[in-house]
Amino acid sequence: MTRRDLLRLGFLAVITAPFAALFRKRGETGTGYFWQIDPDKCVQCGKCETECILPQSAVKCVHQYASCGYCLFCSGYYQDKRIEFNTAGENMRCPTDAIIRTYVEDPYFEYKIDEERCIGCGKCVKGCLSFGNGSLFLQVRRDLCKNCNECRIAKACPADAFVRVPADHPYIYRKPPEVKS
Amino acid sequence: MNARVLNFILKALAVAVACLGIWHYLTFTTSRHVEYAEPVRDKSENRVVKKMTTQIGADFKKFESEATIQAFEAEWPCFRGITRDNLAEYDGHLTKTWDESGPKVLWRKPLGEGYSGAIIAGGRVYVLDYVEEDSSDALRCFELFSGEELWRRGYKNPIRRNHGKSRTIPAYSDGVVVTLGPAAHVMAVDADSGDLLWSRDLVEAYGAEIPQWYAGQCPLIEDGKVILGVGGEKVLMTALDLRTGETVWEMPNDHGLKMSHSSVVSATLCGTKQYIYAGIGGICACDPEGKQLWLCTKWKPAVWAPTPLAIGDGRLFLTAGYGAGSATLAVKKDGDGFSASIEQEWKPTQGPASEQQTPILIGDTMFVIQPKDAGARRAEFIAADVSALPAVKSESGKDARFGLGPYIHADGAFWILDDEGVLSVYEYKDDRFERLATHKILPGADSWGPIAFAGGLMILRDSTSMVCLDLRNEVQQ
Repeated sequence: MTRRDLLRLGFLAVITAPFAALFRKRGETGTGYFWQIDPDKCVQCGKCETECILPQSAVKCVHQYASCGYCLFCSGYYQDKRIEFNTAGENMRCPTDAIIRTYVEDPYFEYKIDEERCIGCGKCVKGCLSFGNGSLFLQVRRDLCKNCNECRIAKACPADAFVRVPADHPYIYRKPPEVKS
Repeated sequence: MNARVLNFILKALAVAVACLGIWHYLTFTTSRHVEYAEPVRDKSENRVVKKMTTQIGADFKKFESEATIQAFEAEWPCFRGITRDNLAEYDGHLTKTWDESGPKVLWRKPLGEGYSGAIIAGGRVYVLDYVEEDSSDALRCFELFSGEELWRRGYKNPIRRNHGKSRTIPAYSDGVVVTLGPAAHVMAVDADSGDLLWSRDLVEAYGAEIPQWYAGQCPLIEDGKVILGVGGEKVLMTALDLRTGETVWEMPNDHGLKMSHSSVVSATLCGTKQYIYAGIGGICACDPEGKQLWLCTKWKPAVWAPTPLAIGDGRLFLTAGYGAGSATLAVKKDGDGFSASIEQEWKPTQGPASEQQTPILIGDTMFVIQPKDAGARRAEFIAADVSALPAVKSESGKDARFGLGPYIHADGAFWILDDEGVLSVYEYKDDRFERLATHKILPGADSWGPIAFAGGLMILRDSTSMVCLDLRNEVQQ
């Protein structure tokens, strides 16, 4: 191979590398295992928010719609000392306003998590579990997690809620309620 | 272009880029777009509350049944039983320990999804069910021993599932059964034939507002009158004639209280008979003629389900869920009238509290299952001396947690149903709880419907089925 061929090959590699990266999902390691939170063990201690090595935790609140009551009064959405049942900031439980609520039809409201805002503090999860169906819970997001060999949150978790799950089935769901149609 | 010029241009470009970078660094600000957390961000201004207009009691269905009504004097005629305290009177003995097969089951019946409890009267069982296939509320009448359905009287009520549909317990007196449906439809029927006697729509008649998750109030019948907490535009409480449905009295709603899930309770405080209603926005009482005696708006939980409990010396124990906790209210004679004030209040972590069920009072001791937000005592069955509130005297322990399910006291023991349909029997002796038996009776979740008990027969329900147990202990009878 001449020096010119080598340079050509190098140049080709440089310009094709970004395209090749398009076929690779962020954070994915292919096979193997992945860190995840068992929602039935989680005690919402708040360490997921503070212990992750990322600037903003890879742990986010997720919403399992099949378990939600779509209530006007959602105890994951409203804080205990709310003044009124409306969207004013003083009534909210989420410190970053990451739960977006939309009126569907009487008497239902839909609750969505804005993951960019969610810091994984688990306050809404605690509120939901105290009075609701437990449809809000914390999960490690597959696309954000670096899948460290030794997860710092798992090490700090007081409830041993961090478990290893197969990378191709990275999430743990709650059992939704059985409903008669 | 010679090399010097090129060199100059490149240097000038580098300096320009550097200056631009410094200028950008000094003037850079993040987006100043701020989304204010204002009260209306959820499109709730478009909310249209549906009004259910229906012909109450229009539908009737009689079933061919070979069951004969057996004479059975014992009754559980309304919410919390004859004396409205969940203390069942029973002369015989109950089987309080079981083998692996559990207590004797007389029958099981599927029900529409909900929490409405049954009543027992005249050898029949009545339950206000939601019949999915007809989109109807229906008062269903069953023969007590066989569970065969005799008739059902209902009306269209096409509501959507909102944590189940059915909620309330009928009330029986003098051959009349009165129901209050999830959309505040009141219906009175003949307990024997199922004939419709009268009806009233509380939303249409009074402008009442149906509380979140539908109405949970159970009607009170006393002295030939049906007493209801209305929470309407002008009327707070009303009494209707049991036979005709005509208005006997109305108590004005001067302070704009709304309908809650709590039921009207009658009690004698400071020597005066009173009807007490805990509405959304406050608690009040009137005399048997509907004249307001007192009102207190100092303790007003957003959701109020348990009924106020008279704990002696003119005091009421108030409790509610969703973080509200509990309080005691003192009613005192004040000249010719009465005054009411909150004595003390506490959070569920600090003392007895309840989200749905009303506590039981035996002597000076109150028994209650703590809510899920009660910290270390969450979902435990506890006992507290009412003279030393909020101190907790005894608790069932961390291995004995229940939920939002019901509990009664019969034959010297507590019968507690947990969320998953497991029935447990506990004795309370020397300030300690002792478990006698436990068995999974019902398959389902959310076994919250209150228990009915009469003459050794117990009716329990989960969210979609009902079961009748025969707990009579024939050996000890």
